[in-house]
Amino acid sequence: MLDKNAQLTSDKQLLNKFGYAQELLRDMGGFSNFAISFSIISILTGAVSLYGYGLQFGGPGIMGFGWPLVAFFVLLIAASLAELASAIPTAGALYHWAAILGGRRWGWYTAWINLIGQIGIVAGIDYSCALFADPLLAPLFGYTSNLTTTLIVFGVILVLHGIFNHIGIRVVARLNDFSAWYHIAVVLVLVVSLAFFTKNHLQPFSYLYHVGQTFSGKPYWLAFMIGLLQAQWTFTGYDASAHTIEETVNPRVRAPWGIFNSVAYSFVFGFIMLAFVTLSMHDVSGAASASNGFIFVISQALGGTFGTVVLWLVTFAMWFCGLSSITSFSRMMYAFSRDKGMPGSRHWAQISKKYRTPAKAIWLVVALSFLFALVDYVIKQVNPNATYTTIAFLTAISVIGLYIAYGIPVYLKLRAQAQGRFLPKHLGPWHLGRWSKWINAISLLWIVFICIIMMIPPNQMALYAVVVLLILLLVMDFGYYHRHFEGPQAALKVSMEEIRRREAELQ
Amino acid sequence: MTAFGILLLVVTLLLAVGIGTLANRNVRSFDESAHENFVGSASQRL
Repeated sequence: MLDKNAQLTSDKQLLNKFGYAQELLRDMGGFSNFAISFSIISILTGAVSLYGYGLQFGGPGIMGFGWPLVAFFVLLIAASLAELASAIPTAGALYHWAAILGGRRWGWYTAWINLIGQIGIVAGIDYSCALFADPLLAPLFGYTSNLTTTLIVFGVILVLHGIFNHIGIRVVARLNDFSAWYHIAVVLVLVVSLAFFTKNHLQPFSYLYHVGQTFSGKPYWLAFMIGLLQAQWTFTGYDASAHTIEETVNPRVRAPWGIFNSVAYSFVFGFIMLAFVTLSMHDVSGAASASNGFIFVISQALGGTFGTVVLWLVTFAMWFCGLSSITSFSRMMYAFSRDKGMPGSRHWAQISKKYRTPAKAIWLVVALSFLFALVDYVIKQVNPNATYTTIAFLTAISVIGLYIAYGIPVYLKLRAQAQGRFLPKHLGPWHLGRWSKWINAISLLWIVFICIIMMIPPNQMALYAVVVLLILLLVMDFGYYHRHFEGPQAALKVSMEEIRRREAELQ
Repeated sequence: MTAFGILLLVVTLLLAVGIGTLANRNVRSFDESAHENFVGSASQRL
């Protein structure tokens, strides 16, 4: 075991081998790296904000069966990504792995698809936070909550996250550490409250596995699969541990554990929370048709004041989740811009000398996320009869974008292994040995399946958005890619003198 | 259905523990001298 200074020097030298200077402040420990992914997965955001959605499609059974089913496959995907993070520990993560394993163009498309998913996830998380905060704030400030006020609250939340991320990874890392404990504490508060203080008795345990009930008008098997969005969206964003890998001490071991453990612990705590919430429910049709199913169940079970306190606790958890997701997204954008992958890359790759954070990338993330929800808001104003919900649209987009971006490097690794290019000696310390190929292959099958499910009605808007964005990418491919994008391979030509000069500039 | 649901839960837990144990064993037995950065071989190809 190396002491911290020796470890930092070793980590820096490892990064230098990929042609990159140590520009970001490397200060995160293993728990902080785990905490950022655990906070983005945020069982109190995804599982809660889409609770009504899950009920509407899969009834109570989606909580008992859907959550562990999705977790089973996501554990395999997380293990596949963890293995890659250990082998290639750079902040670009998914796109960097794809570029190195498959070539520049693979990397370029992975990056953009990842970006689309990241915009969706940041917008989705902060919009969820706004959906909870706005009705809670409305009586305090004497206004009526509506789509416009939700959008304003959403904008304020984004700006706050931008400020915290701008002023430094130390602040964000401490908040993330707190956030991980906060999530666990709130789940415990929720569970104890529902177990001992619910107005009605808890349902028998078998209620959690009650299948066949749907409020969607679709056949149950199909509705159940559509309802998996609730769990599948919750289990996103754990690539954050890889995006912050250049800020993590001993990254080849700690980041993979961060990816894998964040999914594993979220599975356990998420199941406990969903079980108690579902078992405290006595009006499933009311919850499924309510504008916010989770608020409906908590209000019915715990009553006015107590219920409101719990909802505030959940809202703060969502706020922490949004904070972490902007950290992750901005690091990915910084890394991609460092390789000149985006128009205006020079700006987005700049590091604030004062705070050692990618300040401009952070604010671009804030602007793009707001724009995403704003476009949806305008569509809703023009067509008030739109049947889809903003949150379902944003979450479906993020699931598709992120999971395709997760799948590409896993596929390319399998291909490189089959071609004899990626060998056991290339694996990092965290690897899956002879189980690797099977785990990778099953992960890919699940990704294909879940992407199809997320694009069928009522989430067809996600399909249209993905098609439009892919066409846009093709146009950009011809207009920008050829002339500017050198890929991470170009960094290998950077001399050690140049790397040292860049590092000295930030000292 | 309850028994089937509990079985699914247990299988998922066992998967998490199994992968964790496997990875932990590999981390502990990692031989740095036998490792090579993949980026090196890829750079020659591209």
